[in-house]
Amino acid sequence: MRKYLVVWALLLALTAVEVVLAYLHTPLAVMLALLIGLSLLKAGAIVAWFMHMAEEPRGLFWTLMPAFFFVALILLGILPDAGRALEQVAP
Amino acid sequence: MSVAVGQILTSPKKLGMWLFLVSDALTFTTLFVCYGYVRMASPEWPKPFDFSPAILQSALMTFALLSSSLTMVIAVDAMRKGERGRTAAWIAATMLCGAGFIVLHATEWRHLIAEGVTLRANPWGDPLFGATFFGLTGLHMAHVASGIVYLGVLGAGVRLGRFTAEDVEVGGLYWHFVDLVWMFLFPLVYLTAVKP
Repeated sequence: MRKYLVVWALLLALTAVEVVLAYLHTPLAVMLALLIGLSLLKAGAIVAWFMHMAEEPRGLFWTLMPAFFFVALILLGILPDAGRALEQVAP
Repeated sequence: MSVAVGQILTSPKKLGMWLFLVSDALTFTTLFVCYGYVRMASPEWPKPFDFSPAILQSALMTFALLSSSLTMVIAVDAMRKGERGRTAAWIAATMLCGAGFIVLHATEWRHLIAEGVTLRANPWGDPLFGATFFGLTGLHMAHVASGIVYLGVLGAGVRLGRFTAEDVEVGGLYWHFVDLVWMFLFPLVYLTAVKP
């Protein structure tokens, strides 16, 4: 039970860090990298402890996560095209 | 066969829920990538969120969802110990937090709609802001709403002596996933659009 309280407090603390980060005038790329990094960290904590992935047989992780990772990677492939779209819109 | 699968992976029910969650995660990933694309390709993306009330309110919503995840793991824990009454009570607490989230979110939607944000237009800048905002948060809110229904069925069944500890855990998996998605929505939709 105490483990869950610690995870909950950790998630709240990381959320507070994100809010503060949004109001610091960091460069956009740095801020985005930090926000996405912190979000991945929070997601990892939820999966590992709240969803009990840490207690499951390793096989479950290796069945699910590589598939998710590579499909997400393929999806990300369209992003560079957004820059081209911006150039064409600009007068 | 199912015994062998259980030994290598986990129980069939849990595996089924996990497979659904991974495919659902890809649905959200797709929407996030589209949002990223549209935003990168738009020169004047609106940044409409004031610290008060929008950011404070969405931070409160984050608190509600995180706390609902905490009450859910406590429910799963209680069910493993066979305490059905406590399990049903903690599931009810989880539903309450989820309902609080929806109420707060609905007020925010109403504010934005009153300010003139639609799927195709908004008063501040690039018109696709509304489509991405309502699309992402709307799909998430639909997940929260169906999660509340799911938990309601689960909690009532637990009270009536139905369902096993594993069934509650599988319901918990779904609920935590909804929480997990919000962990990306909050920073990427709200915190990157705070009013400068």
